[in-house]
Amino acid sequence: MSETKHIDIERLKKGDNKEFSLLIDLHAEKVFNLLRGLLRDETEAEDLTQEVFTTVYLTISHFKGESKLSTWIYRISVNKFKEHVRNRSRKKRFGFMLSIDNVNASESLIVVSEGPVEELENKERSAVLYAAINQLPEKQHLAFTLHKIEGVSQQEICTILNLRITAVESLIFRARKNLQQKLQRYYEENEM
Amino acid sequence: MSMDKKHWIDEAMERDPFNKERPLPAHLRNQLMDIPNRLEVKAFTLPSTHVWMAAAGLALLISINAFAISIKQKNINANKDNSIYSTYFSPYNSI
Repeated sequence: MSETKHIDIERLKKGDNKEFSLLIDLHAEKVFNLLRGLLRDETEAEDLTQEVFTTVYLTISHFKGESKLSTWIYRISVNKFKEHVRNRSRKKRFGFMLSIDNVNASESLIVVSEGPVEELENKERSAVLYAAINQLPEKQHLAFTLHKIEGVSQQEICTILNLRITAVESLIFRARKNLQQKLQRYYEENEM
Repeated sequence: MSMDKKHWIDEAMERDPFNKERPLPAHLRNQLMDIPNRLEVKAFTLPSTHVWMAAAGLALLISINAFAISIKQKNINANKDNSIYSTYFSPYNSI
């Protein structure tokens, strides 16, 4: 996350609205895109982004500055995501895993510059990929998504997930291996 | 469209529309900017009915206490009036 504009943490802790606006300008888009990538649902990502920044506003006084502010916000986002997934599976409103046929989640997105056939292929492929990513164990899922999709550094992932660097490297490696195994059949049937 | 097996996952992820960065929707930005106002309103404003109900509850408690004290005082006074009778003429006292 870019932190080129300086946020005055002390003023933020005192409830300065201008600093909070700056915080939103600098970090909200990243948080929104992270949650969108994890949840694959625009509306849920929007709701959770609001929850994240409400928590940030209410708990900023607990921020000790031991990590970057962006890392702290990422950690809150990841925790909110975990909580949300737990609640969602508890309520069993809908299955956590998207079926291959269910591409509703990507309907609101417009893929410009590609033809309808390629667009459909992309939707199907990403639905399959997402289903496979969702089947990964939670830590592998988070480490892989943060690193591969959001481009978060491994060092930052260590702080976000409270793990050692070797553990994060291993999680990303195992996630990739698992995905290759899970998607082997789909690849052979569709891509070769 | 075929993809190289080695890079299939990376390529599929790159093509995934959900992995493409999107600008923050304007309505969401406005809602986020409004968080401090919403929280302050919630934190510092109580509905006036709640305030009046609390005040009425307090007044009721005070009046019940005052009433109880006045009754107790009356009983004490009444006991004082009967003290001679109870000392000398009470059937419970032995002669």
